[in-house]
Amino acid sequence: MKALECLLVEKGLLDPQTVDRWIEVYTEEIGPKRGAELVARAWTDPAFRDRLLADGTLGITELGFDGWAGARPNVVESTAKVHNLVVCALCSCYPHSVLGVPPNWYKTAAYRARAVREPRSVLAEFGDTIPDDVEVSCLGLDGGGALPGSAAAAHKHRGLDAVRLAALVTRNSMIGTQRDLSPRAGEL
Amino acid sequence: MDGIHDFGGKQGYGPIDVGETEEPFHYLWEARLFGITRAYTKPVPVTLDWFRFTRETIEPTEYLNRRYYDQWLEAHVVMAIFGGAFTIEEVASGKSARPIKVLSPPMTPDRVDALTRVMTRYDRPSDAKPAFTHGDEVSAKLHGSIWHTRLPQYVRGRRGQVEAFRGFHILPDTKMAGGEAAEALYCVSFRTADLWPEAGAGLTACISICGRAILSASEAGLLPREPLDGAPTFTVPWHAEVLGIANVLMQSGMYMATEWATTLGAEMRPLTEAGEPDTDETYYRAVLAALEHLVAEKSPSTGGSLVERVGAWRRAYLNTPHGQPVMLEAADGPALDHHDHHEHEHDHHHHDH
Repeated sequence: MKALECLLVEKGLLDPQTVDRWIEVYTEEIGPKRGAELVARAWTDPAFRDRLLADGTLGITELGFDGWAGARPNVVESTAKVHNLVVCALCSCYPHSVLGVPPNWYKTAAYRARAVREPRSVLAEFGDTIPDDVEVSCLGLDGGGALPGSAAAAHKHRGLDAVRLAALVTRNSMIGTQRDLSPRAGEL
Repeated sequence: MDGIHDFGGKQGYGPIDVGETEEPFHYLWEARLFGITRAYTKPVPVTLDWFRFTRETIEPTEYLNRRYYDQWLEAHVVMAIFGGAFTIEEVASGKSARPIKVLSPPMTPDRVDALTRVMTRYDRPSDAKPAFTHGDEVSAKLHGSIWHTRLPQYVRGRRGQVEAFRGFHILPDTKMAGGEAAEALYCVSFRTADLWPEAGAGLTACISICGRAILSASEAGLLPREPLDGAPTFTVPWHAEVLGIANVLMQSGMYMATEWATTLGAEMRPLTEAGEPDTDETYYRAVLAALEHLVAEKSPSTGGSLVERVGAWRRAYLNTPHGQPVMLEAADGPALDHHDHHEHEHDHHHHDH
């Protein structure tokens, strides 16, 4: 990697300070907090929710979160009957502009192989048991010929105070590897 | 491409590291590499699909063992070498051996904020009418493409249902090479139990898949000739084989069901007119002729070798002693001395001739 950076700088193709800035932006500004804000807004504003589900780009742009992989995301809503789980088995598509940098597990062979075939046991590994009467829909970004990794699972959970929602929406819940959003022991 | 990367449904990869700490980067080098790939001037335009394809071509054991950003590193180095920015020797030494012509200075830090907001759209306006709509039964093709394709192995040849039409989008398989062919994109859901029997009920796999990758269910299969009362569907094994091959090639997209029907009709007509009996034998001879005809037309290279292969089987048949299984290898062997099959023991003496 050092060789790559040195060569790019020597050849006049890279300014190392720009690298620092990109890291800073994706460490401090762009991350799952944006997605959480989007979800909380959708829960409290039905018209916004409808726009977001119809064309994710509109919702993302409205909150000023335009960016990497934000075009035409396939936004789905988990309900009491259906739980959605997002995976990209072919590469590692991810909606960077609203969720930031994907976790390493999302990019591993284990998750990419298992999410589509045994989503219930994957969720169990993450600590959530999905009741038998709840259908689990695995949303593969496979085939998103034009969806460069953009799906955010807007995950709805009943009984939560709308104002505190954004703080409770986790990154994993937006990928779908967490269903129960009630604060876990030790977190409050 | 049909590479190691197509993980969906594969088994044996073990548990998921659910205890991973939630931070954007776990190592400084990962952050650095991430930043570099965002910041450097690409020597030639890098499309997302070219990047994905390059990553897929990483040697399979390396693909499995390298950390994610290490795979990015390899893909970007390969693309930069391809683009003429530097040579393999320069990468190995980490030193520039010759300057290159650079059209503009590299990206500066103050431009990053604006660039994080750039949103590349892959959908394209089109007046075309989508072929399928919500609720249509479709089946996925058997083959993707040799480039980056979004048709995962686990749905190939399987039946699903169109959930929604999502507009016309650029097809990755052509975008990789800079093309802009737009295709109808659909969300298609498959019952997970149809993909893997042990999966159980209450599971669906929903993927976005382009129109070219699916066929309507009406073209999903060629049916055998209606059997006579009490007769088995197929009376001779090769009848089933030839129909099976015709089906596989049609589902792989070599020809459409309508073309098959026309070609088969054209092969049947002279047989009927010549007064051939209306039997399985006559019918499947026409099926075979139709198949040979379409293969020759749609895949000239395969069609050419077909004639050669028929000859090879004939020679193999003649070269094989009575009672022994006929193997294609025998085609290149010596002509059989009909009265002395021990000749085989001396085969190797003949190869130099």
